[in-house]
Amino acid sequence: MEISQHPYAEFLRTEMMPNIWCSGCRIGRIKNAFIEAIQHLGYDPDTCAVVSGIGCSSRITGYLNLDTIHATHGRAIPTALGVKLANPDLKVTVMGGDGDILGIGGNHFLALGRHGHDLNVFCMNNYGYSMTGFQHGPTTPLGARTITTMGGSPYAPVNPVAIALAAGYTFVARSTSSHPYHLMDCMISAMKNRGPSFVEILVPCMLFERRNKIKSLEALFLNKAKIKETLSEEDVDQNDFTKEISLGIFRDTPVREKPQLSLVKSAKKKAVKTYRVNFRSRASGIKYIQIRMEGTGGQGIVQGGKTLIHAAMNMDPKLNSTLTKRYGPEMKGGSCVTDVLLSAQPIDYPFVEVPDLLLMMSDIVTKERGGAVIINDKGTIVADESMVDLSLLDGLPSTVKVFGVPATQIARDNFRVVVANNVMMGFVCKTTSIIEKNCIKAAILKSAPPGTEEMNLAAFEKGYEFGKP
Amino acid sequence: MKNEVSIRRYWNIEHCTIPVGKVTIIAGFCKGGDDCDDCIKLCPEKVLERGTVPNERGYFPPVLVAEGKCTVCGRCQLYCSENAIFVEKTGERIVTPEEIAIREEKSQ
Repeated sequence: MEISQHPYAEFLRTEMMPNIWCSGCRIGRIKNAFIEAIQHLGYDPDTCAVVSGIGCSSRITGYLNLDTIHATHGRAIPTALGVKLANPDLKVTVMGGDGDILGIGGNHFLALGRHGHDLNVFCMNNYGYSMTGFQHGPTTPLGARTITTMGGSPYAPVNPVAIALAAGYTFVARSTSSHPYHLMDCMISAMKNRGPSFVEILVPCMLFERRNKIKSLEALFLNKAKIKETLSEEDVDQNDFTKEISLGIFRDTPVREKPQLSLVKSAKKKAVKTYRVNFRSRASGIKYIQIRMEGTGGQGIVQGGKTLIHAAMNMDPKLNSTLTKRYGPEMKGGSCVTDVLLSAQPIDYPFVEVPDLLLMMSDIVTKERGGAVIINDKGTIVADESMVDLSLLDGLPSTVKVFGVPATQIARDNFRVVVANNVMMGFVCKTTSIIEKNCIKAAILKSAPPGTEEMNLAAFEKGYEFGKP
Repeated sequence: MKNEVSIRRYWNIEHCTIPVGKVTIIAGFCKGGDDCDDCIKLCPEKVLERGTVPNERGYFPPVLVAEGKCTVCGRCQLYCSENAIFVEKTGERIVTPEEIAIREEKSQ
């Protein structure tokens, strides 16, 4: 007889079977209960996704013929959240052990309750890290022997149901693998719930039984566990094998509505004067221009490059352009280069090789390069006289046009240093006339922070007045 | 239970019939032995018994002892972690008065 005739064969990856679990492990039964739950609800297998982490119980995804992801250790819930956000129609289930969900992924487990997404978390609690030989984990009972706590675990265990209740899960239940019909019932209710659902499933582990000389945890569960219709607060506690274990649904509430944001006060909007510059787009006739803006960090080099590229786009929207920027980790004081390419053809290489127009806001980049100024023979240099050592420009060919403007000095005297790039921009606009004045002004307005438009525009005008055509 | 997940979903109580099933054991998958004898223990009709012939991995799969007695309750199929056993419904038979009497005695 073949496995393909099995009633669950549609949901099983039969080529992966027989499975790896120990003889007497009941994790496979949880897989069967999950399959039965899906069959009971009548879900299409294509709309079900299962995500798991690392562990014995996480091997379930390897045997389920649904859309499954075997994620990294402890990161099953974030992966499932990604699946859910990408396709909200999927019924996403997280299968994992106690070490995966509560131990290593504990933070994600807490966060899911807070976020309130529709995920079902089925946590198989077998009291420790059993795949690696049974080290003690977050749910190991007090006094239980594992290979890392040979004299008995000295730490009190966490209670998964209590954590889930406190974290704000909308569905919290406990079941065992020895009660598969009850487990199926809990799973169906969890999948029907539209919020984050959590089912703790107690599983007997052979290694735990042998180390602690328990004859059969399965029999112990059947003996001690009691299914209850209504549960009280005292029933939450379970980790002591001497007492009764309460099974059932601890909480089943609809998804809470998001409350009003109390901490965010609606800000009164001040009447801000709106600036507006009209410009007209036209064919610019630019074929290929390489513009480089270099200087010290903090002078607005990147901002200047952005202004330039926006202005070029304002003037001729059919142009192709790229902007690349290079700067160090320092906010202020390091070298900074912004490259702008404007081209009528599509751009294949986004970096400037030999600039046609070089805007030197300071000479730090040139000095770092060893004093050589890279410029096209027919190019133009606009240097900031107050910051650049002009002797660097002496050895250039006579065909190169050199202009000087004390942009930083002007900005410092009249406004603040941060608008030095706009002073430079005004000067460049007047002297080179590549881009129209109004286009640059509109670009400045677009990128200036609110409240500083006036200063930026005034700086631009100042630079424009300084220049000679 | 809330969602009416019942072991009696194959049963037809109105017409007084009981399904007759065929039990299939996939011996190569079974991990039965001292640790696992759920299908034998939980079968209400005692259809299965522990086998004596080991499979290729050294486990002892159960053997069928009462071929026609299976009533397709589906317990063995659900409880088996390894999916090594399943039942198929082959037909139905009408409940005999003796059986009803036995059940009533048991319930009392």
